[in-house]
This record gives sequence, C-alpha cells and structure tokens, in this order.
Amino acid sequence: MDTNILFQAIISGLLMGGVYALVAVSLNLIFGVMKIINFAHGVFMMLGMYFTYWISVFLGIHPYVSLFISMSALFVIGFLIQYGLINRIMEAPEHNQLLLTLGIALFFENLALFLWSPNFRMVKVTTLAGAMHVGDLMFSTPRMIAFGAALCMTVFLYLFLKKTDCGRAIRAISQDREGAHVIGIHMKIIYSVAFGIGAACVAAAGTMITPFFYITPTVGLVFVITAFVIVVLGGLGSFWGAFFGALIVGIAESLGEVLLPGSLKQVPIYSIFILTLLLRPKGLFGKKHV
Amino acid sequence: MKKRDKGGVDRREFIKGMGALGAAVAFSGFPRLAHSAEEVKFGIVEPLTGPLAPLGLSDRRGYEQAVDEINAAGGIKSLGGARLKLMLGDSEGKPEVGMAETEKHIQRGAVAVMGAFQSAVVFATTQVAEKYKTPFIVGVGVAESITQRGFKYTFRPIATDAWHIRDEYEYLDYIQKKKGIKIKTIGIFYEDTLWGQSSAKAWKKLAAEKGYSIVADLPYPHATSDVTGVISKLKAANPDVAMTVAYISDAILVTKTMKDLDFNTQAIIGMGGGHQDDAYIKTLGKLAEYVSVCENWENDLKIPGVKEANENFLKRNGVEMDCVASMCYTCVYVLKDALERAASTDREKIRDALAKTHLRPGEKGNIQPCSIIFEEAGQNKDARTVIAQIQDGKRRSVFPVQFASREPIWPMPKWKDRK
Repeated sequence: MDTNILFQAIISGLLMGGVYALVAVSLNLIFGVMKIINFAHGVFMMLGMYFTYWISVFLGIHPYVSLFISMSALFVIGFLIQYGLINRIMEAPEHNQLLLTLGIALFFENLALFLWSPNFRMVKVTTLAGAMHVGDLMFSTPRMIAFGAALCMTVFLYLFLKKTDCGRAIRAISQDREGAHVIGIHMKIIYSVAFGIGAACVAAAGTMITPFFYITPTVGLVFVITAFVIVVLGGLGSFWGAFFGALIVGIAESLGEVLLPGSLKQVPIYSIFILTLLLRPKGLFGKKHV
Repeated sequence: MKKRDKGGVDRREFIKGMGALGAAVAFSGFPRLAHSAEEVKFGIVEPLTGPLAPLGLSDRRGYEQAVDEINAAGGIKSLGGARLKLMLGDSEGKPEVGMAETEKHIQRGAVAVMGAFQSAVVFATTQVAEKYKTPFIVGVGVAESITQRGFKYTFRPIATDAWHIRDEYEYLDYIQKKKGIKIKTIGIFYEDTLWGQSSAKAWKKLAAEKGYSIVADLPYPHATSDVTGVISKLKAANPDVAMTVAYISDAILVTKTMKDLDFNTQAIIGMGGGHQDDAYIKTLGKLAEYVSVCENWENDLKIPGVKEANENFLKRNGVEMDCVASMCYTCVYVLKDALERAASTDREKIRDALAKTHLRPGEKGNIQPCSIIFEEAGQNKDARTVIAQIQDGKRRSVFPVQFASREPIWPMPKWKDRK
C-alpha cells in the first residue's frame, strides 16, 4: 500500500471528522440537557443546507456568508419546536419522546420532498472551491474551511456553556433538573434555548459542507447515523467525548475505506464502537458533564 | 367494551367480503369487450406511485404518446381501424401488487400487458401473464434472467444488463481502432450492492476474454459521506479507462472528488443510473463534461422517427424524451405491428405474430438503435445499447457510429487544461 494513500486517508478522515464533531457535539448537547434523543437532528442539518442553497440561488450570496442566516433560522425553528412541542412531553416515557422527535423528522423530510422534490442539488461556488496540493497530498479548501469552522464553533460553544449565565443555566439543568428548578431557572426557556443552539450548530455543519456535498431531503441520514455512533463512543453527555470521538471515527472510516473493500469500510468504526461498549460502557470519555 | 370492538371488526369484515364478492361478480359477469372491433385494450403495470413514481410517469408518457399517435393515424388497419386503448395499472414498485394489476388487466380483456420498470416486478408479472397465456412485453427491466426462463409469452425488445458491459468493451475496441490509441488497463469502481457486484463480475469476465486488464477493483458503499480513499486508490492504479456504476448521489460525490484529487484518465464511462440522470449534469455543471454513459437510448440518435418522437414528447410534456419513455413507446409499436399481422385480438395469434416480429431500426415506430427480432425465450437478439458523452452540457450519442450524432472526445482533457 502506497504511504501516500494512507496519509491522504488520514487527512481527509480528519477533515471529515471535524464536520462529524459539530453534528455530534450538538446532538450530545441536546441529549445532555433534555435527556431526549433527537431523531430530528438530521433534518435540521438538511434544512440548514437548503437555506444555504436557496440563499445562494436567489441572493447570490456565498454559502459561508449565509452561515449566520441559516444558523439563526434553525435556532428559531429549534426553539419553537422545543417550546411548543417537546416541552409538553418532557416527563413522558422515553418511547413517547422518541416518537415525537421521529415524527418531527418525518414531517420535515416529507415537507422538503414536497416543496423541493427529491432532486439532488449543489451550491455552485467558484471562490474558495479548489484544492491545494502539497507533494502528492490533496487538501481540499472547502473541507479545510469546514474543519476550521467546526473547530471554532465547538470552542465557542464550549466557552458559551462555561462562561455565560445562559450557558451556566444550561449546564445546571443538565446536572440536576430539580435543583435548577428550585433555584429559579426558567426551565422551559432554557430548554428551548439549548435545543435551538443544538439545531443551529447542526445547521452550521450543513452550511459548511454545501460547497462539497450534494443536497437532498434525506441527506441528513448520511451524517447523523455516524453522529449517533460517535456520541455513544465518546460518552453520552460528554462534550469533548463527542468531539474527539468524531475525529477518531472520521480517521477510522477513511482508513477503513482504503484498507478494506466497499461497505467493509465501516467495520473499523463499529469494531471500535462494540469494543467501547464492552470494555468501557460509559464511553471513551466517561460520563462527565460539561 | 371489548365485545363491542369485536363486533365492529366483524362488521367491517362483512363489508369487505361483500365488496370482494361484488368485484368477483363484476369480473366474471360482464361481457368481454376486447373482441369488439372498435377498441383493442392493453394494460400497463408501472410504479405510478411510490419512490419510483417520477420514472413510472416517464414510462406512462411514452406509452400514451405511442397510443395517441397510432390512433390519430387510423388505428389498427387490419382490424378495421380499431383504436388502441391503454389501461393503467399501478405496481407501487411492489411485485405482489404488480401481479394483482396484471391479473386485473387480463380479466378486463387486455390483449397484452407491458411494464414494469423494475426487474423484480417483471419477474412476477411475466409469471402471471404466462399463466393466462397473455403476451407480456417488457418495457423496462434489464435483469438477464428474465428471458432465460423459457417463457412463451414474454418479449423484451431492449438489451439486458450484461449486454451493456459487452457494448462498453466494444466501444473501447472501436476507439482503439479508430483513434489508434492503446487501451490496456481498466479501473472499475462501483456501489457494492447487487447492481454493482453483478456488473463487476461481468466486467472482470469479459476483460479477460477481450484482452483488457483490470488494474483497480474498487467497491464503495452507497450514500457514503466521503470517497477520497477510493478515488486516491484509483488514481494510484492509473488506469487507461475508468468504468463505473453509480447512483446519482455517489456519482456527484465521485466526480467532485476526482477533480479535487486531479485524477485524469482517458475516459470515465458510467452505466445508466446516476450518470444517465439529468440531475447529474444540472448539479455538476462543467464538472460533468466529457463523462460518458452506456445507456439504452438517447434522444439525438440518427434513426428515422427519433427526432419526431422527441419533438412530440417535448410538446406534450414539456421535457425531452428520455431513455425509458422511448423504450415504452417502442413497445406499443411492437404490439401494433403484431396486431396488424395477426389481424385478430386472439391472444394466442398475437403471441405468434409477436414471435415473428422483424422491425429494423426506424421501421414502423421502432426508434431503438437495433432491429427487433425475438429469439425463442423472448429476448430481442439484436438489442444493443448506446454510448453517450456529455458534451456542451448535454448527453450526445457517440456510439454506435451509424446512429451517433457526435464524435467522441477522446481522451477527455485533463482537469488543469479545462477552462
């Protein structure tokens, strides 16, 4: 095996891992705070991509500039979904919560099919679209930007949770729901803010990959199934667990791609996953709250 | 409470039973109209709803256009100008529904049935047709084994999946001879479900026979997030030609990755699927240029009738005729030709006439790039495919030469030499 191919695999795996990280960290935030598994995460990503697409088609704005628009839009959508729908079933049995988020996912996916058809689309970008070649290695510019942006967002999110009042309130709830209630944190609003932030982050991931990935109503699935694996791998509710878990999975997947044929490329991921569950059921980074 | 629930179910079942009885009476009791001279009925079974609905719609448009053209031109002359009547049947993409629809058509007096887009459905519907001794003309459905079962009532005018690969190699032979370019090594990459796997098997088998060597054999999972690994391996193998089968999502990702990795080769040849989809060109724009695809038909072929059929299709539906619509269109003309010769609506006589079909390309509504002559088990032995290359933002037929509208651009320009 050519060492170049291996290095190339590690690079592209790492860059993809950055995108996975943003998806997984936001999924984990929602789980950590609300204790619900958000099956609608993929459709938020898809909506973020479509927002970016339509903004670029109608206003001719570069996808990176529309980042803030798609994030704000998804924050509002996420906030309203939590406020109006999920808040009503916070105390319901888990399977009912699953049904609700799954229902929301089905609704948006089919709405997208209805409004925008199952056709594949792609944002056409000319600036910042190429790739750099160092020796025989290729560094795709949009992928590096996506990686950098995902990294920044993750750090911002971390600082937000650590340093701001709102962030502290979110953490307080994730640590002790009743205690937070007792000291006067407005639960419903904070829940909604946390959910909105989760949706905005995954929308950002969606926006950042539009320059190199196709858009279709079911596109979220490609990323979110991997994100679920990452979250369990890194530890449910663990912020940095999800982050490093994503990088590990990204690299494992692309090494698997060059070392194993076809669908076997996912064997390394799931092997790591099963080993983690067997040997460290709480995930690589334990169940430490942010 | 429980008791009342039970009573409700019983009532419902009673009504269902009565409904079924009514339907049975209706089917058996009504006089069959198929044998009246004014109207000759045939049925189609297509995925008109469900995930394949857009493709089923295209098929339906092809059938309907042919029916309207034939009726406008005076119907079936040997039957006193009888008009063709098309009966719709929706398979929903499911074999068991397709079987029921086929049976329904036959009960209602269809002289023949056509369909069914998916090979899995065709397997089932042709079985029903065989049982009722009714001709089934396969519009779309390329699995080779459909016409290897020795059925008497199944007819397929189009090429099988294996013949696509045969024609790809034939194209390479032609390029070598015509352009004096040596082509020796081939890289194959394909999605790793049934479609890709069976194609890979055929590629490898024929490569050995034809004197080509496969230097890269790269399966990849469908709908994956990244194909950098696969394409960098392909690049390392540096094949003269890259051949692939891909669904549209993967085809888009692969092409982008090829550009990023600066992978250059003499030709990239896809087979149907993603590369044949208009969305491939629409989504990728200039990146799609020079990519070739092996498919059953293209709407710029130089065959009498293609231009008119395509223009009529555009006028009726607002889009140009695609490959599947053309195949369904031709099927109706194949039936018409058989009806003219049989001069009867007897299914047995129509079957015998179908078995003696001989239509040259461009003759009597055959707009396919081949003659239609059915062998014993119903396969058109002359069936073949077309190679098209994306030039100036549209697929243009480049092979076979006698029907092609353009010259192939070979080798495709390197990425860095493109504007």
